[in-house]
Amino acid sequence: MLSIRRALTGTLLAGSLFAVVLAGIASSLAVEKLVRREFDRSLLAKAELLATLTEQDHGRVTIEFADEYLPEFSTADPREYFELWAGDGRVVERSRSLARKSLIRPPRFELAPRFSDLVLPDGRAGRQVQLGFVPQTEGDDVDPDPSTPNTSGPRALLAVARGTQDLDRLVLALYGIQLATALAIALGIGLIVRRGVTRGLAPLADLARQVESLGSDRLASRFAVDPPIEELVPIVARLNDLFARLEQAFARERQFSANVAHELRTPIAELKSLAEVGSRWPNDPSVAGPFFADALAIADRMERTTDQLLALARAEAGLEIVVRERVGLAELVEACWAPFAATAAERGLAFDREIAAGSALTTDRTKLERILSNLLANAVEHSPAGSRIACSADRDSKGALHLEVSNLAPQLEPDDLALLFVRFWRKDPARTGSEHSGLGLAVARSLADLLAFDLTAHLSAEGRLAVRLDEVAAGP
Amino acid sequence: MRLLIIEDSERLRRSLALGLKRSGFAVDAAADGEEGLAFAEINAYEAIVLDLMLPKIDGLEVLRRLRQQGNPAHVLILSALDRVADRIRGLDLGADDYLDKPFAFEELVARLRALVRRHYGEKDPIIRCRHLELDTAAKSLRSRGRAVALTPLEYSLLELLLRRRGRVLSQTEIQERLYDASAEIASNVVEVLVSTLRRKIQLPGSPSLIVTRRGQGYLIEAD
Repeated sequence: MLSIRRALTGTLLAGSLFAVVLAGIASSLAVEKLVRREFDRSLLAKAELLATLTEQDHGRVTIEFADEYLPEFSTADPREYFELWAGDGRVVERSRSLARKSLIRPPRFELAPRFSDLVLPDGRAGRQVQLGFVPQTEGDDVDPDPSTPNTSGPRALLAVARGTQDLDRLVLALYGIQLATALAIALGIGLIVRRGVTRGLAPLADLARQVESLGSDRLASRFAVDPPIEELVPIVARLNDLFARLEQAFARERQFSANVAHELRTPIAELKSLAEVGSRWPNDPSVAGPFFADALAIADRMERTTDQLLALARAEAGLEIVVRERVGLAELVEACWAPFAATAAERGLAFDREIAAGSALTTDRTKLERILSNLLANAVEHSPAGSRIACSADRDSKGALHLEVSNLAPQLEPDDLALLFVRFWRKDPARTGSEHSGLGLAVARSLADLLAFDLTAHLSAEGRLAVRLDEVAAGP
Repeated sequence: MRLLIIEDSERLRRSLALGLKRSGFAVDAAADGEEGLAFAEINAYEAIVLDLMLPKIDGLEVLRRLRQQGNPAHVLILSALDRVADRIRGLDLGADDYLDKPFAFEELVARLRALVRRHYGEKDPIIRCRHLELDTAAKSLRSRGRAVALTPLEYSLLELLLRRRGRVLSQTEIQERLYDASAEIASNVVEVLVSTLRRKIQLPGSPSLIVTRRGQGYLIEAD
């Protein structure tokens, strides 16, 4: 599995180590170059010293050299070597350390010093500087100026050589120190990177722990990042938002299941009690008489509830098929009102229609009929006796249809409006006395959504409830 | 034994009342919390069957008010609310039992019998008194081991007198315990009932088990 911590640690470590190694190599090379240059400079200084000891006298090159002043050229350790040639190639002088051996003579006369590596006569590795110059004239006390070398007179060639073991050891030691330093720095960087990454990712790890500890039974928990981390705050906000919605959905589902169970429990209890009592005293007319009518009424109620539950489930799952046709609105309202007309008349309810003749729309007739029937059924049941129910329909300037069913609803309060479309909500929580399941408006809203209508409720200051069905204007 | 049913489902209320009456209880029935409280204030009940989701005054409020008034009736909550929290709430408010809907009628009757026994501080369903053994579960009577046939009212009267042994019960008190509010009662109904019951439980040559206290009522003396 991929790991942010491993990826970060690996990348940072690799980057840091690369930088450390690169810096170590570069600095080592620079130091080595510096040390070797210093070695060459020292070698050249020695050669220039010997050059100042060299003189010419009437074309003859001589050197005033004494071993006791420069013992390194005799037998002292570590030994150094020099050899002086006249311009014609004749050997003028060679150090005692050379014995009868010779250094490498420069192939041609050059004033500029030339450095080269070689194997010394004693077999050691060494370095040699070759220098061409014109010796000063004997008796001339003027010190030669290196910037303006004497170019007249006989020429001389000088080679000075020295072992490089000490130099190589020093360079090796320098490389060792650099390597050890690099390793120490790498180790330090590793620890710092590990600690830094762990510390940096701690809020993420904490968040992961919070997420892991959550189950479907702890949806009320919310995530927190303290102190707030810029990168995590939007994630946590989204997670909390998601969990809030999940919690609401779970609560709705739980409530829905409980409501369904309750809705079915009550008629089942009625049926069971009727059957048990009836079967214990089958010959008692007061028991057996109303049994069948009661059983039928209970079955009807359960059928209505299950029909509405199914309709709701189908509408919410998008399984309802919309079959559009031309529907005359006035005719539809009359057809929907007809089943309630007798009950309304018994309760002294008047029904006012304000629907323009010939107004029609293209929609699913069955579903619109179901919505409208539900609104009218509610109006007939809940309107105070002797009051008026109104149904009106008009179109706005954009051609969208607005249909409204209104009635007096003295039992409703403004806060109830938000609950009207909640599944199983009823103003009076005592449910068994009612033939309504509290699903009608929820079903109506689901169907309205399918038909591209908004179904909303409004309560006037006079206590008149208006349920509006507004056609949603098609988008551009 | 007199019961009150407070249940808003008309069909359930009706079938329960019928079944419980046929099981030997005197039953009154109320359709909402307000009516139920009114019944409970007027009459003395051994037990009350109480629904929770009631119109006007909900069941828990009814229970709270009953207990506030010191009503001694045992309350059995009969509700479709089956969550543990609902049961705890009901029992904590003073209910004596809780039964979920849907329920078995036989179980309801058995629980009510148990509540009635608790009402009289008894545990044994068989009440023994001298030569009589009254089985309150089987609703049967044995006299010296032989079964004695009793009508439901005779049985209820004997059960009442035996449960209240040593205490005089007035005719009014007996009427209230044996008949529900809807019963039409003749003025001498208790006298006639006592007389027939006496004949059925009387041993030849022995003094009557049911003693008449003139102007006060009837009693079965404690052993």
